[in-house]
Amino acid sequence: MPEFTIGRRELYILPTRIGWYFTLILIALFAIAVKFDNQAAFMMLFILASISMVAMLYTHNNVIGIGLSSRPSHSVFLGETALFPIRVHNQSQTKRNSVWLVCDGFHQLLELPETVEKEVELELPTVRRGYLNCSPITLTSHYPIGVFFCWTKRYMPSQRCLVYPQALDLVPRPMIDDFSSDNEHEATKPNVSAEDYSGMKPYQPGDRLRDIHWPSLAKSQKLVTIQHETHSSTAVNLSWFSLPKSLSTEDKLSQLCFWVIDAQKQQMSFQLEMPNHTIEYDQGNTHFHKCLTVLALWD
Amino acid sequence: MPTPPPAHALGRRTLLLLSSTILVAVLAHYAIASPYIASLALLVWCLKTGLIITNKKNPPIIVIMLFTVLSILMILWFYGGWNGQKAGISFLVLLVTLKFLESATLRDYFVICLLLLFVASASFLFHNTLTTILIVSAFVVVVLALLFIISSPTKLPFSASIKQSFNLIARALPLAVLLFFLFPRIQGNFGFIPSQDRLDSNRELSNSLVAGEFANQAFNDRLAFRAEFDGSPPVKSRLYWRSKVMTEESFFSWKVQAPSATELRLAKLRKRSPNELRNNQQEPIRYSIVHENSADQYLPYLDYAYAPEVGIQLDDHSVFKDQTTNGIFAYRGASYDSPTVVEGLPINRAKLLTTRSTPKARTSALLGKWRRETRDPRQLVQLAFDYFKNNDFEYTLDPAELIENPLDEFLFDTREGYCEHYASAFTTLMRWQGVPARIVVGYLGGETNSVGNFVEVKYLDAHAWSEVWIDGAWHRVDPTAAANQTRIEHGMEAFLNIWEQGELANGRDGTALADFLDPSGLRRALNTIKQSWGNLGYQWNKWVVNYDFNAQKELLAQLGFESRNTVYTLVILMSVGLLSMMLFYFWQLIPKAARLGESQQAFLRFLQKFKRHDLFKSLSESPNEFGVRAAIAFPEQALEIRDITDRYSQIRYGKENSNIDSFKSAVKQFKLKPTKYKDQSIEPDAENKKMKNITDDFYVAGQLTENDFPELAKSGIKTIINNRPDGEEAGQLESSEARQLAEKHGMDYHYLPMVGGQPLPPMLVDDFKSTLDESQRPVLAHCRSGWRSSFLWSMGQIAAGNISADDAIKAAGNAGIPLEQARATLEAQQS
Amino acid sequence: MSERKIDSLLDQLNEIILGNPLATKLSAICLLARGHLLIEDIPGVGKTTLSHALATLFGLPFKRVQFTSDLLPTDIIGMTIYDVDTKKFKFKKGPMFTSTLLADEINRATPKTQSALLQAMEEQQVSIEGQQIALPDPFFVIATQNPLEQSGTFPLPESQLDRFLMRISLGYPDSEFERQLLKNEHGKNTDYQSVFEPGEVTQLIAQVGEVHVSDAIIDYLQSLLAQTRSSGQFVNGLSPRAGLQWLQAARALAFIERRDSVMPEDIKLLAQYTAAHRLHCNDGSDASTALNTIIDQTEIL
Repeated sequence: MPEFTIGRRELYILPTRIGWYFTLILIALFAIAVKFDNQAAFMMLFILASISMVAMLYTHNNVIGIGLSSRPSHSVFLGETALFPIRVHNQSQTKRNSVWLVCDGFHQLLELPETVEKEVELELPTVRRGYLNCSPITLTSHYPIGVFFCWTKRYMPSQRCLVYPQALDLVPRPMIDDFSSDNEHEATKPNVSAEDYSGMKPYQPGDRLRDIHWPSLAKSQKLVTIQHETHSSTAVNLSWFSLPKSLSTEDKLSQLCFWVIDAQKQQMSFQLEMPNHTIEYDQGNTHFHKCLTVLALWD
Repeated sequence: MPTPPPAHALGRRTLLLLSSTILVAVLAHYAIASPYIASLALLVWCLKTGLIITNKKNPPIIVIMLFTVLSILMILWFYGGWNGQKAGISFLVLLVTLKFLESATLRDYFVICLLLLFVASASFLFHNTLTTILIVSAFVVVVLALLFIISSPTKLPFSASIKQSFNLIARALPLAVLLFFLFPRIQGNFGFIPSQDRLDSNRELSNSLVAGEFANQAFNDRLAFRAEFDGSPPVKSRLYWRSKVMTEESFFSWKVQAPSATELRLAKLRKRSPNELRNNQQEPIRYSIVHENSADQYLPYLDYAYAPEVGIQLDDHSVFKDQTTNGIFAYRGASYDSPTVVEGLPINRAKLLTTRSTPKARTSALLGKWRRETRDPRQLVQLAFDYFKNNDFEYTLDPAELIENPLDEFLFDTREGYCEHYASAFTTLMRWQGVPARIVVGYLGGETNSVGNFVEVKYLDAHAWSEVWIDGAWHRVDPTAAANQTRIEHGMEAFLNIWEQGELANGRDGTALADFLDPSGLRRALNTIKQSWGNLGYQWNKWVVNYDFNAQKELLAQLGFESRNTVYTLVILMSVGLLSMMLFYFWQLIPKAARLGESQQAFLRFLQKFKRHDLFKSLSESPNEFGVRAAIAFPEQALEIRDITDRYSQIRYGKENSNIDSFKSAVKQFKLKPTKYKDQSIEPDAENKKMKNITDDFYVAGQLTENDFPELAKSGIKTIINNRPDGEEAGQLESSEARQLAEKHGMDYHYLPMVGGQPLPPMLVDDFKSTLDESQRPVLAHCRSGWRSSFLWSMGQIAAGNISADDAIKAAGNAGIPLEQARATLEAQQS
Repeated sequence: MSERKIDSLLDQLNEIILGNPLATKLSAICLLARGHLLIEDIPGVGKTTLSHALATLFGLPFKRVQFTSDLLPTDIIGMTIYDVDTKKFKFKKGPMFTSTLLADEINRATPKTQSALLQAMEEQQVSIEGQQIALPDPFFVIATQNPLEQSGTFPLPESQLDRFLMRISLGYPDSEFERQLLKNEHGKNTDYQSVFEPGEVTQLIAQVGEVHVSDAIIDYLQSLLAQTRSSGQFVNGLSPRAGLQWLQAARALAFIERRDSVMPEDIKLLAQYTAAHRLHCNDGSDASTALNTIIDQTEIL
């Protein structure tokens, strides 16, 4: 269901410049028809006038009832382009021809067959970290013959895009494992010896004996070893306080952001220490985004 | 207003399509204006089209300027100025081609299309026939399709655009027809419009009759006029359409004597009495004529016309028009069908006997012979007629040339001729015999169009006959009848048919005639098509080309709007019609939502009823959930509401197919009563006013008055809760006053109004309960009757799980409050 | 008749697990829908009590395995041992061969052991050395897991959560009920009797399958599924299996509530329990919030 459905009150319509020219032609034709009392010219005049009136209805009804809704947009880093997916719903049994979606000078042409939903990705530049709101959207159309132009009230998409700080490497990263001396964290430190079962493979010389799957040997007389995936055992504390005081707030955030990305890439467990709170050691996607969100919304 | 979308480029195919459309306009211009100007337009067109095909850029501005100057010069040269329709249309066509030459942007193409539409419309000033309208219509459809293509940012195939164009026109046509018939045709003049050109003289029936020239008319199958009779048309041989009368003879040719100004003035004053014309007939034949474009000042009327509407009837019975009209014109006529007319006026006998030519030897002998036989004019007429009849005179379209003595040669040597020969010879003979005679030129017959039931008279039906003056009356004598009966009885077309097949030479056995009169097979079908086409043209002329303010008046009269102010009535009718048609279209064209089931539509109607009372179903709310909420908001109708939502759930989600019709009727019958909390079920009589205890320390009551407060205090009530909004009823105790009274008597007072006619605010139940819990007991709650108070109490208690719905209803029932009607709501609260 | 029994079963269950009628109902639904239940909560809120009571009341055999880090797959599946008498290998069934299995603190065991259990849950059978041995019918696993914050565990991989029909958490009891619990000095009430005869549960499950699902419900569910896939918020949309299980759970809910057809509110109610744990937001935010948004934006008519 769309967030915003274009009703009669959300729709404006005016003749285009071509429409005004058309009106001029009609006036001239009227003058001729009256002057020469020419009924066939009258007939033409009325046909053309009626065509423009019906065209007005066509234009109006080409846009009315279209629904708009916004989809959540993926978070991006500062400097990247924010993408706002906008869904355009044609909820009717009528085809919509050549509807333009306009957002901040960006024009996207849409052809909407019967009962169809289309997604448009609006691209917006990011200039500031934090939440970025999409610019207001209007739909316009001058279907069918370009004599009328209709446009809708501005629709503000409800979804916003979270812009993470720009990742900048300004100072060296703090020491890996610098928390291992810190006994306080011992309890929360992940089980370093943990091994995940990841599959079986034929025995190769050099495989550890304890990894051999003995029941298979009994069954198939072949040596099979169990493969393990070892987790990275490193962990890092990314602290606001470890940054030089000389850095500006934005630079600090950028640096922390860089470290967070780096730690995530190396599958390290990391903790983010900010002046008012700390996101404790963890790893994984959720943790990663949580930290970045904190950085993005820092003030 | 947001910025308009970016302009798109047009494909070469579209440009070529536009180019060929312009070519049609340019070629059509050859038919209207000077070929030199059309050729200039064609040259410009060729240049631009060549550039398009070779994908080249537009020529430099100087070239365009050059062509523009050339165009202006040519128009000035050929038309001698700007004024005039032809100059106007030539200018337009040149403008289109020049604009085409310099066109580069989308807007240019739009403008060209608009100009083309204008050119197409303006062409009606020159040609007004049905064929023109068909060609112009096709042209307009294509131009409109071009507008579709040009305005579409995506590629639109030509066939699709034509289809859309047709759709648009089909929708526009009813509106256009309405406007056409009802738009008041007020007269006006616009100075800036070029004035009317003088039309080329288009007089098909000349004012003189020269032997041998008239026969050429026989091949002119252009339409002269169409006549529609009020009754059934008379037989062809009686359809003598009088146009003009010729009295001046000079050497076997005849001339019309144009009426002098005095003659016209006199004729205008004079009106023939019907008795003068009537001949045994009671009623005149009435008919209407739609005449094609003609510069002839004599209007054809059936013999003998009586009191013509248009034109002045001259003494010789022909009808003369002072001014020629441009284009098609229509008039009505009334005539007494008779071959003779008694003349009340004296005739200029001398003039009607004058001849320039004198009889030659052979003719003199013939005349002498006749004179010896009789002196009676009637017999002389008969003798002359019989002479033609008995001497193998032949009626032919290709008569032998008469060289020296035309009359002698015709009477004795060639003995063949067209109607003018016979009429001319006969009239001259009569004059020589001393019988006043004259020639009448007009039309005889005309083809009956059985599709449209009118008579179509063409120029080939032109005919000349004689009139002789005997005993104070004019008698029509048609000497052609002596030579050929077919022409008279079956009309010119029948004769032409036979003549073309050469049957005339092979004896008159009449198979061709029979074939013509009763055509078979393909010929009949062709005839029908021809007649249908003719009928279409007639209707077009009658309804469109000739539709003026008078016709509008007539239309209004036929519709029953006989009003003095025609313009006013027309404007009103037009506005009403236009508005209702636009509304209809608006409704019809509005995109319809994806089709819902019958039951869903009914449920939406049901929801609509709540919307008026500010209760909306949220998007994700299921029917049941909404039902529960609605039942709480409208407790008095809870049962009904739950019944409908249950039924709907059953239909939509249930196993058995429930009865949709009964559901629909239940929805239809359902009416939200906004007065539901006004608890009209109980009249607040004296008894009801008394406190009713629901529990040991909770009482309800109806409306309190000032006098009640001391009593309440006396009976030990510590707290009063008022659930009735202020101002529900005149004379009601205001809550502020009540508060003072209560406090005066040492009681707490709370005002928790429950407004009737609105959904129950969810907080109210909680507020009521917490107030109750925190108050000093015993508590008395009141509204108008106590119903609302009991309801709020029950809702609160049930929600807290203190009592069941049954208990609450029972407790209230014991106190005489019918809470049963809100059972469903209470039960919902329970779960 | 059986509906009555279901009611009395739920009543009894609610007497045992105080103040959490939703959790008891959901667990019963889970069993009737042939799904497996994951209870995520801290220890001591009555997970074991609930599963034991559920099994007993349904008249199903019950076994409990405490998962530890040194638990091996063979410890739950069973193992082949060499029978000296017959000189043949013989399969000795492990605790998994029961109708109701409580896998307590499943995240304490290694992924290897976890996956052995998960595979059995999925296939309703175990394969031992190429041999397929069917598990009893019904086979209902209640796994409990400590919340992720607790260390020294192997949280179930996100993809594996799809094998559970529902994920619920019991939460702390209301103060009122806790009071009652504390006051109740005779301790755990364990003297409850089974409500159903051993074969009856299978019949019951068959009856659940007969609950009517109208096209409108299918449309609604399908649109929800489609939106989890198209919304772009989630790493993966819901699988068709998730949809099937969701619908089956809705049937069971309707059955327990003595209705013969599924209503949209059944689907909505179960979304949090049957779907939320299978979804993971791209940006790490709460999946159930995102799911709620989708539900709020989907029209029911």
